[in-house]
Amino acid sequence: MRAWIRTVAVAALAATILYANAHAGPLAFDLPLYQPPVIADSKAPTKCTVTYMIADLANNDLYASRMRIASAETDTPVDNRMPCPKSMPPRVGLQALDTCLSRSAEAKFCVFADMSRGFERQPDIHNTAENASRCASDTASDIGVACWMSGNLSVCNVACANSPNDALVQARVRCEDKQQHSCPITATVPVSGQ
Amino acid sequence: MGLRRIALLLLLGAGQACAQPPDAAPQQARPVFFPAPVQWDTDMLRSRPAISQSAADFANLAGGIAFGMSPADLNAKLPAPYPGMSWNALTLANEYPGEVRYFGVPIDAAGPLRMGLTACTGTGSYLVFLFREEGFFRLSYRLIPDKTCTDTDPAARQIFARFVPMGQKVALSVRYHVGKTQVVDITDATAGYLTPIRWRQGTN
Repeated sequence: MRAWIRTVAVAALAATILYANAHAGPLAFDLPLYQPPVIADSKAPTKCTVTYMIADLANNDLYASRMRIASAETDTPVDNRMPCPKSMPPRVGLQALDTCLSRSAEAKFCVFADMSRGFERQPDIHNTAENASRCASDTASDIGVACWMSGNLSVCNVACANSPNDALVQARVRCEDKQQHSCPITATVPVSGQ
Repeated sequence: MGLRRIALLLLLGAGQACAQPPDAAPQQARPVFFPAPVQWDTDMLRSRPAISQSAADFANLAGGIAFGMSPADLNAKLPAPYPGMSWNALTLANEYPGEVRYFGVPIDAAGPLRMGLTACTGTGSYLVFLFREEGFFRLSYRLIPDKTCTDTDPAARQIFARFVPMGQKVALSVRYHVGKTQVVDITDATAGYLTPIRWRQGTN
């Protein structure tokens, strides 16, 4: 009896091994293999980013064009933010403008988003301010823009602040003060982004 | 209540009604597009894309289609492929110099190329796939308003927003309108002289 049980057990084991081998195909490529999570250093100082707000007048589109500036070895963070250059060469502004130029129907429709009073009568880049259309990450966390509509044309101004709400409020104040119009169309984005 | 008092109250009421702050107009949030960031060196003399992107990134975004594909290969990637697709079966796109051919699909049948649209598009809206001899080089969204969707600008903005972060060394995204039709073109960065050519209504 004991020998008979042993024979049955050995046969069952052999059958199990054979069955397992028959079903052992190649490894699937889409196995959910473990990947360690990417851990961002949340205490690392914010690197310098200068964000330009660019307007496409043809489509009334806004672009937040982000320029990251490498820090010098001697730079040290202040309030956990790396310093940004005090002045920006024109080529950086032109590069920011290019993000619109390459995507718009015509180059003349791309301007800096901080516009002078009366822009609606002469809507060209000479009536916009490059330096007022950008915010640097060492002094602001958010960039806001506020606009009013002159017919089909958005007339806008830009402001920098340290919260989305402040950026929006300050952009509206600047727009309404400068343009002498209510500026109900608004947007705000982080200066540094991803 | 005396007449003088009523008149005074009316005057005060009128004054209040006129003294609305300038922000009484309804607020509207304007979408902002985010092109790929640019990395500058310390002296701001040289720049390069801050993020490395490749053709695979475009293919991932566009449901597996890739620039350079043949009409038959691209057709096979669509949710409802046309039978018997080949280069010779395609119509000529007359606005281009040389030989450029195309076929189109209704936007409702575009599967992942609808880009998760939530805004309305109009029932006649469609996508066009443009090919040169080397293969697929442009994806063109044509969003046509109708009675059920009188403005396709929000839809065009939604689609455009998905492609703007794509670096210009991979795909060039352009947005314009022809009459009331909103157009979003996504073009292979290697398309050369074909890149600046725009759709003209009536040519295809």
